[in-house]
Amino acid sequence: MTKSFIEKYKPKNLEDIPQDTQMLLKLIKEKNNILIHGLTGTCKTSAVYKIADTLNYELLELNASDFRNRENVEKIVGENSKQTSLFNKKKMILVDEIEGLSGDQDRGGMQALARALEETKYPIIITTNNLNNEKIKEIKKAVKIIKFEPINSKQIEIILKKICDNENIEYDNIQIKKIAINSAGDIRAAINDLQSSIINNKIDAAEMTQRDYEITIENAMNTIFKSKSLHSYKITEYINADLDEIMLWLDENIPIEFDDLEDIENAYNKLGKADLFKSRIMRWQYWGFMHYQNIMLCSGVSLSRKNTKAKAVTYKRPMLPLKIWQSNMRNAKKMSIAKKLSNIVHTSTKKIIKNFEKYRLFLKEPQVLKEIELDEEEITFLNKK
Amino acid sequence: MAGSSIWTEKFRPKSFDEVAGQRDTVKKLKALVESKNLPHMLFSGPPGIGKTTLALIVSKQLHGNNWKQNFLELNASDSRGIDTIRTQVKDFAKTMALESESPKIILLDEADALTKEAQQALRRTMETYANSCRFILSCNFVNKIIDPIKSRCAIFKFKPLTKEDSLEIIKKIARSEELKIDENAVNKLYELTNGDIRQLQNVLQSCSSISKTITENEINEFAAKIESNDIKEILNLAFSKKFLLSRNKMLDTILNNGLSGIDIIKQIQREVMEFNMPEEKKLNIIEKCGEIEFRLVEGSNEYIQLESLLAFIAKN
Repeated sequence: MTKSFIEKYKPKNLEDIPQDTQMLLKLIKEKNNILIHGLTGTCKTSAVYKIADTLNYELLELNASDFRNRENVEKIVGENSKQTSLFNKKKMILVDEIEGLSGDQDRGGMQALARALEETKYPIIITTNNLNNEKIKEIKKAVKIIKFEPINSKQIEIILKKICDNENIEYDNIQIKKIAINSAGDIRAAINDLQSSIINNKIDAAEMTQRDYEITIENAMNTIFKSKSLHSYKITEYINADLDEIMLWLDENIPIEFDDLEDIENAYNKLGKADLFKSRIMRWQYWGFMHYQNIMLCSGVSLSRKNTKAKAVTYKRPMLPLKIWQSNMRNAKKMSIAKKLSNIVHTSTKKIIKNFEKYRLFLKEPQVLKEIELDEEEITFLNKK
Repeated sequence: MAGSSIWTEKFRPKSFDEVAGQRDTVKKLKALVESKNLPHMLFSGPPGIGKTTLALIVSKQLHGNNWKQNFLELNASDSRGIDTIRTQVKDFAKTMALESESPKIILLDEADALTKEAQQALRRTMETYANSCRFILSCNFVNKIIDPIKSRCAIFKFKPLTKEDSLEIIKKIARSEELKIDENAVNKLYELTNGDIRQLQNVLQSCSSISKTITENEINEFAAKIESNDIKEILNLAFSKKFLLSRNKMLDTILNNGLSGIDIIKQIQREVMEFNMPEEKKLNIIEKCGEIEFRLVEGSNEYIQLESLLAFIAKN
C-alpha cells in the first residue's frame, strides 16, 4: 500500500515548515516553556519535531493517545525533567494537543503538568488549538505563548505544486488555488484534499466537496468585527471576495455593529485610509500598497472596537451599488435634458444640473418644450415631483 | 430663425450698446473689434454678468452673418479632459475662417475648471492655432489660471452689475412679457440672485410660468421650494449623534441631486460656519474637511471619505 501524501511529504527540515520558526527555536534553546497555539494544520507539532532534530535534542512526547492522569504525567514529564538522558543528550518534552486532557481519565494531570513546568530542567512545549480553553488558564501563566497563524494560501499552493510535480500529476493553477483557498490555511487538509481529488493522475477539483470551515463573507465580517486582532486581515485570503467588496460590506455594517460614536469614527477613519491606499494604487499603479489597504481595512476595523459591547449582529448586504444604479437611472433623464439645454443657453450641463430646480418650471412651457425638443420620457421626468 | 423662448437667450444683448454694465470692458472690446486685431482674451468675473454674452457679441461683430461657422463654444467642465478639447479645437481650426478675414473665435467657458496640467497643454494649443484662431477664455477666478496663459491673453475683469443695472433688466423683461411685478418683488428677486443675471432670468421665468402677477410672496414661495436644507439636516443629525440617520440622509442627498463629493464638502464647510458651537470645534471640522477634500482630489471613494468625515463630526 502506498503511503498517504501526509506521511510521504512530512517536512524534512526545519526550513520546509511554512511558519516563522526562528523565535521558537531561540526560546527552546534558552530553556523556556512554551505554549504554541494555532488552528489545526498550521504545523505546530511538525515544527517541534524539526526543532528537536535541528538542535539534536531527544524529544519526549505525551499526546492525546497516552493516558494523561497524574501518574503518567509525573512519570514521563516529572522524572525525565529531572534526569539527564542516557546518552547525555539534551531533552525537550512535547505535550501535544493539551485540550485532549479530559476530566475523568486525566484526573490530576493538569496539576501535575503545572508542577512539572515549575520544576523542569528541560523545556516543555505544549500545543493547543484554543488558547481560551478554561483548562489551561493556570498553565498559561508559566509559559511563553507563541501563535502559529493559518498558513498563507500562496505558500500552500507552492507546497501542493511541489507534490504534484513529484508525483507526476497534471494540474492547472486554478485547481491548485481552489484547493489552497478551500483549506483555510490548514496545510494538512490541503494535502489530503489534493490526494483525494486525483483521478488518473489528474486533479479533478471540480467535484471537491467544500470543507466545513469555508469562510463566507458574513463569517469574515464576524471575524473582522469581533476579533479585535491585528491579524484579522489574513481572513481576506480565504474568502471569495475582493477588497472592494469587503470594503462595501464593512461600510454598510459599521454603524450596525458599533454603537459607540468613537468606535464608529475610528472604524470609518481606517476605512478612509484603506481607500486612500486604494486610490494610490490606481494613481501610481503600484500594487505594493495593497497590503496596507488590506490591513487598514480589516485590522483597522477590528482594532476600532473599544467601547462597543459584543452583541449578535445579522450583517446586511451592501445597498450602495443598488442605490447608485437606481439614482443613475433617475438622473439619466436630468442629464439628457441638461445636454439639450446646454447648447441653447450657453451654459455647462454641470451648472444646469446644479440649478435644475430653477429651470424645471419654465421648461414645461409649450414653446420651450418645442424649442429644446424634449422626448416623452424627458417630459414625464419634468412633471414628476 | 425665430428667437428663443428661453429668457436668458431671448433677452441676451445682441450688440455692444445693449450690454448692461461693464462699460470699460465694452469700450475696449469695441475698439479691438474695429481694429480687427484681436489678441487672445481672458474674461474673469462672477457668474451671470455678461462674459459669455460679450464673447458672442465679439464673434457676431467680427463675422456678421457667418458668425456661427466661425465660432466654437467649449465648456471645460463638461468636456472630458484636455484631449477632447484639443481634438475639437484641431478640427475647428484646420480651415481658415469662412468668407471672412478675421480669425475664428473659440470660447472656452469655465476655463478655471481645467487642471494645471491641462492648462499647460492648452497653452500649446493656443500657440499652434494662433494663425487662424483667437481664444476667449472665461473663468470665475483669475488666480486659478496659470501665469503662462495669463501672459498670452488680454485680461478683462468683469465687475458685478450694480443694483440699478439689474433692476433695469427686470423692468425691460416685465414690459416685454407683460408681467405685473411690484417694487418689493423686484428687490427680493435681486437679493435672491445676488446680481447673477442668468439666475435672475431663470427665476423670473419660473415665477411667470405660475402667474403673470408677481409679488414678493411668489418669489419667496419659489425660493423656499428650490432651497435645500439637506446639508443642514445632515449636520443636525450628526451633531445630535444620530450617525446612521445622518449617513443615510447624506447618501440620498448625493444620489438624488447628482452632487459630487466636493460639492458636499464645500456645503458642509459653509454650513458649519453658521452653526452655534465653539469656534475651535468648527476649526477642527474645517481642517478635517480639507484633508477629506484632498483625498477626493487624489481620486478616493467619495462615499467612504464623506462617511468618515461625518463620523468625525458626530464624535465631536
